[in-house]
Amino acid sequence: MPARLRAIKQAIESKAGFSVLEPSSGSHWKIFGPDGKMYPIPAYNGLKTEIPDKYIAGMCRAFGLDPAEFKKLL
Amino acid sequence: MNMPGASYGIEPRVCPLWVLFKPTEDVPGHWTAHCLDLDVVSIGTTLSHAMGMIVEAAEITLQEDLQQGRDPHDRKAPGKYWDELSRIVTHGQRVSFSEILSPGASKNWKALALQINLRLDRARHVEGQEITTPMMEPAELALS
Repeated sequence: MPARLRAIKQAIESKAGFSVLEPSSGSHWKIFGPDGKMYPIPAYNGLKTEIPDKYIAGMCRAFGLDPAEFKKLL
Repeated sequence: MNMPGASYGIEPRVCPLWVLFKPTEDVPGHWTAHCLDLDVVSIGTTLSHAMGMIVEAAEITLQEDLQQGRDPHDRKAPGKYWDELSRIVTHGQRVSFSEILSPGASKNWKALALQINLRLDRARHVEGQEITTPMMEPAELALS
């Protein structure tokens, strides 16, 4: 199931050491992991942007998160 | 006396990236773009929008990694995605970039593999400060 960017932002920010940055330009926001690693998140429709499962899987891979556990936070 | 800008030298680098595009299964009417070299995923409302989005996502990722001293090659996608790309490139039908962008052309496509060259124009300041400016050039195309 896809999720809105708003829900992903809230879920990510609930995890220790993670933050979400909204840049002043462009169509992607930035997610930073505890070690500073960045992963871009599509945001062309702001917080309403629909984010597909494939994205969530890729983001979880990048940060070593369990996708099933992460989806419980959405 | 140093003139503003006179101390910059341009050092171009080309970063070839493979991108896999597919209609998004769980968000109808959208395309998902997966840059396999960086394992970064983005989405667009059309194929051309998804292309623009993944280029921006790749630019941001490369810039951030280079600024942080990280090796972007450490991000590669798992092998199963490369196998899928290989199948498309080997057995897919080649199309031109203009065909990809023509209205309605992508209607019946199941997937598109596209190699882009992201050009990193690195302006190096005498004091060591760097600015990277990536630019996209389409290189090789295939679709299934």
